[in-house]
Formats: sequence, C-alpha cells, structure tokens
Amino acid sequence: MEEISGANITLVTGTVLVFLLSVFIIVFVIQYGKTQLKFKLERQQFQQDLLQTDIEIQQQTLSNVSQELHDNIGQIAALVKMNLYQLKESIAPENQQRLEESTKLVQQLISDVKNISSSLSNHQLLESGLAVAIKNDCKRIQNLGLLNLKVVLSEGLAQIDVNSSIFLYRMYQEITNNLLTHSQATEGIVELNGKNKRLSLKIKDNGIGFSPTEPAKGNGLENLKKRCATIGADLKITTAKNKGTEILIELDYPVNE
Amino acid sequence: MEFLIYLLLLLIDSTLGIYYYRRLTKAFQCLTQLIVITFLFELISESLIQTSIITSNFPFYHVLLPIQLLYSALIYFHVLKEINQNGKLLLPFTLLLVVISILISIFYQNSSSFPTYGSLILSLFIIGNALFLYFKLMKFPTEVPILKQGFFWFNSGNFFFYAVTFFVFGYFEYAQGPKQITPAWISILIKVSSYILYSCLGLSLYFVALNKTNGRN
Repeated sequence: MEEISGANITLVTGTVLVFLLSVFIIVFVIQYGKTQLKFKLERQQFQQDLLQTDIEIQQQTLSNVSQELHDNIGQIAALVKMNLYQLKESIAPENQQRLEESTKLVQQLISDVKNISSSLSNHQLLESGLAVAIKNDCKRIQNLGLLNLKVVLSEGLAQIDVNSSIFLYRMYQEITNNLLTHSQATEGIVELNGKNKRLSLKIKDNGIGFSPTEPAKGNGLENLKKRCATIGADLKITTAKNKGTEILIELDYPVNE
Repeated sequence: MEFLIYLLLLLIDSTLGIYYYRRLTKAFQCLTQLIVITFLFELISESLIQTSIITSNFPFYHVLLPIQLLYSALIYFHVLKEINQNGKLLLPFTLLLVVISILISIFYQNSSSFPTYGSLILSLFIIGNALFLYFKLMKFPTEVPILKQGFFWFNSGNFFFYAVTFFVFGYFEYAQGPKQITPAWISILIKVSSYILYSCLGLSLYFVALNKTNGRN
C-alpha cells in the first residue's frame, strides 16, 4: 500500500515537473517575442535617429552654402555690376556693347545665385510653406528652359509641420534633380494634394524611365526610401523603360499644431 | 522497439550533423561529434549485449559520462562565445566535475551500477548552463524568430531532458529510498524525454546549417 502511495506521489511530481518545464519554455517563447518586438522598435528608432542626425547635418551644410552664396558671391557679383556701371562713361564707344553684355551676364549671375541660395536654404520654406517653395522652384526650373514643368497645387492646403515640410521639399529636390540629370524628359508635372487627411506629392515625367529591377546607379532612390521611412510616408514608383516615371509620396496629413 | 527509435534518432542527428558539418559553427560541430560518439557507444554496447559478451551497458555509461561533461562544456563555451559572452570559467570548472565523476565511478558507484550520481552532476551542470543561456538569449535578442534559432532548440532539448533526468535520478532515488520500485512510467518518461532531446538537437543542427551561422543573425 505504501509502495503504491509512493509511486503515486512520484507520478504526480513527475507530471507537475513536465508541466512546469513545458510552461517555462512556452513562457520563454512568449516573453522572447515581446523582447524581440521591443528590440526591433529600438533598432528602428535608432536608425531613424541616425537618419535624422544625418539630415540635420546635411541641412546645416546646405544652409551654410546658401548663406555663403548670398553673402559672399552674391555681394561680390553686385560690386562687379556696380563697377561695370561706373565704367560705362569712361569706356570707348566700340567696347560699349561688350560692356552691356558683361553687365547683363553679371545680372544673370546675381539672379541665379539668389535663386540657388534660396532653394538651398530653409528660410523660404519656413516662411512661405511647402507649396510656395515648390511653386517657386518649379518656376526657376521652367525659367532655365531645361524642362516644361507644370505645378498643380490643390486648394486650401493646410500648413504642414516644419519637419515633414523639410523632408518633403528635400525629396522633391532630389526627384527633380534626377529628372533634370537622367530622365531626358521634356515635360513634367508636380502635384501637391491634401485630400481625406492624406498629403500626396506626385512627380511625373515623360522621360526614358528606368527598369526597377536594375541596380541603381546612385544613392538617390535609397535616400528617398529612408526619408520616407523617417516621416512614415509611403513611396510608390511607377516606371518602365522609355515610358516615363511617376513617383508618388503619401503620408497622413502632418498639420502644424 | 523504443531503443530502435532512440538509435534511429541518434543516426538521423549524426547524419544531419556530418552532412552539414562545414556549414555548422564550432559549437554545433562539437555537438555533432558528441551525438556521433553517443550513437557509437549505444550501438556497440547494445551489440555486445545482444551477442551476450556483456550483460549490462552500465560500464559504458561510466566512460560516456565524463565525455558528455567535457563536450557539454565545450559546446556551451562556444555558444556563449558566439553571442559575445565570456565562458572561460566553464572549462576549469568542468574539469573539476569530470574528476569528481571519475572518482565517484571508481570509489563509490562502480561499473556494475548505473552512474546516477554522475548523471546528477551532468544534469545540474547542463540545467545551470541552459538557464544561463536562456537569460542571455532574452537579454540580447535578434530579429530572427526564436523558433528558427538553433540555440533555442539546442537549449530547450537539453533543458527538458536533463531536468527530467535530474528528477529521476535525484528526487526519485532520495525521496523513495534505495528499495524503491521503479514505476513503468519513469522509464517511459526517460525514453520520451530522450526522443524530445534528440529531435530538438536535430532541429538545432538543421536551423544552424540553414542559416549558415549560429542561427541568430
């Protein structure tokens, strides 16, 4: 009787042990899943912070270049223009035409430096907002005669938060820069829409396009993806060889608070 | 029949380990060696019993036990190294345990009896290492799902089997006293646990070979 009772105790203890071991392993798996999720989020956050720092440094560099262009090169060009005006009276009549051409070229240089300085700086963007900055930049490209670039801005776009504005503007610049450099396009259209609490920036061209499966030549596409990930935007690229390119960036409306 | 299943599992694990040997990390190469040694020991001892040359395989376990201790230490040492943890103290500590288990085999539990005390030492050693590894896995997670990590299967198999072994040879011997009648379910429990152990080890070898690394990155 005692032997049976002992065996029963062992049986119960053994069962409890196996049960506890199984529970331990299951709890470990569940807990590990939670830790893993936390680890993934921390890693994503770290990568976003890195990217944010990278972009802030880039932003500061652009701002410095913009200021240097405006304050130094722009001022020197203005002085050259003034000197040319002063030379007008003392110069021989046969050289007057060349002087006028030089004055016009310097005027063009001043205007270009001003435009470039303005597009590199955040000043205009912060002052007038994303829509105006994009509109002015498209106008600049149009004036250069490189491309027939149209702008379509939806009515009543609310003020977008500063951080997202900067990211979207830099992405817009990256895309238009690629468009001008590689696409061989003659026409393009930039659309900025804010509907159903979603903001979308679409840039479309009639250029040579590219094969999405081919390895990219530069970092442009990768930069776009990273920037989109940082502000939580969706990136959609529709392209094929000789069929133009359409790039669509969409995000939840990041309204200024 | 049960023994044949056990041998078959050992054979599958050995074949898997040898087939993927070059793709395995050091820890899992050592594990393959241990599985092959265990397989050969079991095969030879059973063959000798079947041909009536020996009557019991207990003497084999007295030899196998220190080997298992040494290999287990080597495996955990390399496993810890692979997750950037220092396991240098493991090796001298294991040598001490090996000496103790050999002394027990010579002076206390000779070759005619099963080396239960040696098994207790091995079980405690592995349970300690397994818990430590669980802790480290939890502390330093990776993006690979836990069920696809070789470390997890290796550790869980070991943890389960040696916890059961410790219970059987520890609790059972002490709680029931020397005149205990071994219930049939105890032997089934040990067998099932060993099936679980070698299935888990097989899975760990598979996942490590599949990922070409320790299965964590």
